[in-house]
Amino acid sequence: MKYTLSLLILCIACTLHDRDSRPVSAVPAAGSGTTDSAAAAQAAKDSSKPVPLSTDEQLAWRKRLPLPARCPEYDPDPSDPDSFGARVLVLREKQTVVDARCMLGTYQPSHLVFLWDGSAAKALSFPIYQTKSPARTPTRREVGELWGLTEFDASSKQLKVFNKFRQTGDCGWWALYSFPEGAVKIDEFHLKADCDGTDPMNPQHWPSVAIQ
Amino acid sequence: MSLDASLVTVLGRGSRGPLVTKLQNYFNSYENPHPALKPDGDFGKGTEDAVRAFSKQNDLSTGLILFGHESWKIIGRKIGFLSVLTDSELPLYIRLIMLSPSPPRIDVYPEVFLALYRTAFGSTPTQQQRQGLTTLLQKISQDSDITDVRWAAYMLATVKLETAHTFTPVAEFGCNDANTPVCTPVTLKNGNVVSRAYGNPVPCPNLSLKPPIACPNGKQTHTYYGRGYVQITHKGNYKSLGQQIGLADQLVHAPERALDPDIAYSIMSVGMRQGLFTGDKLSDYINNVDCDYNNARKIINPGDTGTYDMIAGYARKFQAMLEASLK
Repeated sequence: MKYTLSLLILCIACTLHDRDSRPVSAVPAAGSGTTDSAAAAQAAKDSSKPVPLSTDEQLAWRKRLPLPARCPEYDPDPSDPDSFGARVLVLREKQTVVDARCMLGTYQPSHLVFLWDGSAAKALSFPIYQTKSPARTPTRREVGELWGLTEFDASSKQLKVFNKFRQTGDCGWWALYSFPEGAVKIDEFHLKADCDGTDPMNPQHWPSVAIQ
Repeated sequence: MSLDASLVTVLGRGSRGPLVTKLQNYFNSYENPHPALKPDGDFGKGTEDAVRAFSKQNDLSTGLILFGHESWKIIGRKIGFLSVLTDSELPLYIRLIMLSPSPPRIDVYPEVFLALYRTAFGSTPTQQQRQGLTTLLQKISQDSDITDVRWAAYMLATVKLETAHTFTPVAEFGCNDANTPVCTPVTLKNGNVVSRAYGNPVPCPNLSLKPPIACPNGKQTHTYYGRGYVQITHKGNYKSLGQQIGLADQLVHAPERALDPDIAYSIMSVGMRQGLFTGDKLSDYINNVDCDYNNARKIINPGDTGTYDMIAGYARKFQAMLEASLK
């Protein structure tokens, strides 16, 4: 609670500053628009949810990132809480993880994730496990673009990713990443390769993959 | 946003411009009974009703409310190419469409195709699967933009996976329109409360329309969860794909319409052909020099490498079934 209140005070202070002169590695600002205030209030109740950025702040973050041309322009829709262009997770001073949406996709978007040190953005890659059939042992590889539904946990400083193999969400993988010293570390990885129609809402309890 | 009729061949509700006026004039002059449309260049309900009647009369998809490639050709055949060619008001590309020979349709004997299903997939199709596949085969045969059997095969393979083998437009597991909010949260049997990271209710925009449209079932919100053959989520997708298939913002105001087989098929066809989902499109993987079923999944979901080979296997089977049952 104390942390949340501090965040809100800092955020209010941030909105009073000139945006261009504001240090971007600072604590993310609360939404300044009326449509964001409900989300900000909700986030304030739940310390695990980062305070959402206003659409202007999201646009400003995207301008700072080396997003490739294939990522469409962010078209803000303040009425839709599922629409976002950028989210941030402040790790510590001069270390902010930025999740920028790239393609909207069919039923799950893609994301490019960067580490911002206050002056430059470094693209992060993420280890995942994959298998071509449920019977095979998953193999590890690195991906630079995350497809799926992402969510920051502000209290644990982690990123949750749910990648659905099909839209119904009964198969896919669910992963939890942390960022010690700004590097990507995989904390949990759950994989269900069998699209059998069961357990679509509980991916964090799917079979766990032993992290190598 | 309305469609610019000078830039697209497909006209639908919301289209405006001189091409719509030409269409209205043709209907008034040549269709029987003539619909007495006001030639105002605005594709409204009257024009939509006329297109629906035209589609039925000409054996296009029942209830089709879009006026596209095949429809223009039918007009060309009806009134004679000569009069069309001398009509300088009609854009050149429309005249070319009217003159072009019909591409070979993927027209199959459904009963032969269905009989092959058991051999290919190891089980006799259920009544639901038979009905779903028959509907899809009919829509493919009417789709003038799908003339490559391999494209049709990959679309059927995608539908098989995405609809959990039902071949029927489906709603996302755990989501329905009867509850508000939908999709989130869900209490599991073990007592855990879980939720999707999306699927939040969005204020129903219908009431801000002029004239306002009632929100469905008196609700105050919509939820843009997954619906269709290749299910789309998020308001942005409902908006952009609705516009692409000529429905303007109708899917934003009535997202449940994405479950309509006609609309669900149109979304899949245009999205996969034009690369509207991920930037990749059917012709990137299946073309005159290559048929890369194994990577074609990138058209729908590039992050899903686990199912690449499985869907490719489905596609090969569907290709064989289609080729064996072609008329």
